[in-house]
Formats: sequence, C-alpha cells, structure tokens
Amino acid sequence: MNNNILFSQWMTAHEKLLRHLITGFEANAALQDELFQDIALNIWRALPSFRQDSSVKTFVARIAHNVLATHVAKTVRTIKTEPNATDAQQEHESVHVSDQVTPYQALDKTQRQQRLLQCIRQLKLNQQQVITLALEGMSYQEISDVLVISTNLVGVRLQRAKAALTTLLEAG
Amino acid sequence: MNEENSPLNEKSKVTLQTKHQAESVLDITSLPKQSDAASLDTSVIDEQWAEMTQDWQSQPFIKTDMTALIKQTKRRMLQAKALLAFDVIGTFLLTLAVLYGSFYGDWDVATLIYGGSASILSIIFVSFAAKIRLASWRLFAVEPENIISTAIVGCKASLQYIKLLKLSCYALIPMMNWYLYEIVTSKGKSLLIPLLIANGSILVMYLITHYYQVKREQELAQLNKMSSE
Repeated sequence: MNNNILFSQWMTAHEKLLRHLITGFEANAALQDELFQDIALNIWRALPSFRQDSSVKTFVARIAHNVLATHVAKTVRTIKTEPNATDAQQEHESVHVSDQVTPYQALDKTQRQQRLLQCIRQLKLNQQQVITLALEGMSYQEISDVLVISTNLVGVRLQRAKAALTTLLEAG
Repeated sequence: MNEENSPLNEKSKVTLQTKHQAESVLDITSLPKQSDAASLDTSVIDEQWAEMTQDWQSQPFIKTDMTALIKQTKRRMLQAKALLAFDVIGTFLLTLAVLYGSFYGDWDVATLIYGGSASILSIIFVSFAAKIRLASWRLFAVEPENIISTAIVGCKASLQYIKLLKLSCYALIPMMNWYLYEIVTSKGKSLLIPLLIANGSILVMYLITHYYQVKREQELAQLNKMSSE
C-alpha cells in the first residue's frame, strides 16, 4: 500500500490516542502541536520498518512514548506549585474519604479532566507512561508491548502510579 | 465497587503462561496492602479509576487536517535530508576543488593550505553531524526503557560536536587572519575591513555555539537526573 495512504490511515485511526498521550505529558498547547508533528514525522520514518510483529496501535504508541519521554526528560522542569506526592500522601492519611464523595468526584467534568491532567504531569516519567496507556484502556499485555517491559513490571508500576495519582487528586 | 470486579485486578487481562508468572501477578495485586507507600485505601482508587478512565477518554481534541499533516511531514523530512545532503555535497565539492587546485590549478600556497584545512575540518564535522542526525532519525527503533540512556548518548554526541565547533573557532582565528594577510597584502589593499568582517563572523559563530552548549548542558543535567531517579 502507498505510504501516503497508510500514514493517513494510521494517523486518523490513532489521532485521539496520540492527542491524549501528548496532553498527559505536556501542558503547553503550542508544544503539544509541535510534539504531535514530531510524532507524525517519526511514524513516517518508521513506516518502512513496520514488520507487523506488533499491532499498529502498539507501534504508534511506542513511537509516541519515545518522543514524549525524550521531551519530558530534556525539559528542565519548573518548580511545582502544587503539593508533591509525599506531602499529599501525608495530608491524605489524616483524611478518611472512602465513604464520601472525593474532592475529585466533587468537580465538574471539565475541571476533573484538567485536574487529572495536572496530576498525571506531576508523576514520575515511568508512572506517566503506564498510567496514560492504562487510561486509554490498554491491557497489561498491550502496555508491556508498547514499553517493552514484562507484564509483572507493568503491574507494579501501574499500582504505584494509581496510588500516587489518587493521592495527588485527593490533595487537590 | 466490588474489589473483585475492580479495574485494579486487571491481571485477568494477562495471559498467564507459567505458575511462577501467575504467582508474581497475584503478588502485584496485593502490593498496596503490603507497601507503606500504598497504605492508601484501595477502594478510593477503585472508585475513582473508572471515572478517571471515562474522563480521560472523553477529553476533547481538535481534529487534524490529514492532507496538511502529510504535506508538512514530507516537507520536514525533505528539509532534514536536504540539510544532510547539502553538508555532504558541500564537503565533497570543497575537497574536489582543493585537489583540482593542487594538481591542475595555479592556486597560491595560502589558498591551498586554507582550502585543504577547511576540507579536512569539513569532513570531520559532516561525519559527526551525519552520525547525530541519523541516530535521531532512528528514535522509533529504540526500546522505551532505553530512551533516556539513548537521549543521554545523543546529548553527549551533540556536546562533543559543539566543543569541536568551538575548537575550530580557535583554530580558525590564526588561520583566517594569516590567510587574509597573505591575500590582501599581496593585492595591496586595506586589511582592516576584511579582518573585522572575518573575526566578527567567527565571534558570532562562537557565541551561537556557546548558546547551544549551555542549552545542551542543561538538557544533559536534566537527563542524568531523570536517569538516576
């Protein structure tokens, strides 16, 4: 199949996934667009090497994660104005919320989405990676294929990421 | 939410091939109960996870114009290839010109020495630049677990290139001044303006290089920090 058609098909099919992943790593709208173009460029370059030993979704997500991880790792992070995971956890321990509506649930949908993104961006890189893929509805096996790690490690990282994320959300 | 139906128990999605693997996965799901860090009430996580997933997946996004994206991607690809091709062809032509000049042309010694040194430097620079560019083009082939170490290697290579450029500035100052002196004085013209232009250009090149060095050093520090986390 023509590379143009294939590229267009891949990008159309996975645009939502890519846009979501990008927002989980970068807040700046201009940089989000730049990252989308970088990912597109890398997918274009990778097209000839795709050997169908993985699904297109996995292949595309892996490329996106490589671009995003490099971007996050190179970006000198600004000082966080929000509480970090440890502080938030200490704060959380003194509040029992399991029987009530949590602060996260009390927000409206747009606020919840913003809050969720803010908190995901505060996680460690490897936690960001698993949590964004899990939120996309990927199974352990798919996440393991994307990140090239064992399913056990996916489980461990996801548990930690979920705990850290919940702590951050509750602190808000 | 019932804990058994919890999305946390996603081990059901995993194909378990060995008993050992099964035990490991079971151990994972009990992690929050064992770990101090995860002393958080798991029901809170369970309750919120479904909602978070829904919120995440229903995020709005602006649809991309695919025709424009394809055009832009092709243009960027072409630009990157053209830059590399320009470097390689330029170096090749310079070397060819110096060889022609030394064997068939009536070039003066100063021009031959200057051209020869420039072509040697150009070959070194192009091989460095090609290595860095080609590595960045193969980003998709890197395993995500190694992406930080790959980025560190890339950043170090980039810094080496920058240092080489700075070194060439130091080498260029006496070489360029000597060359200009030889050429301009032999023609009996004023030396001041050519010297100002040449040295000014080297200074600008040095300052730009220094700016990128500071930027790359910051990136490298960040990468090393991330790698050690």
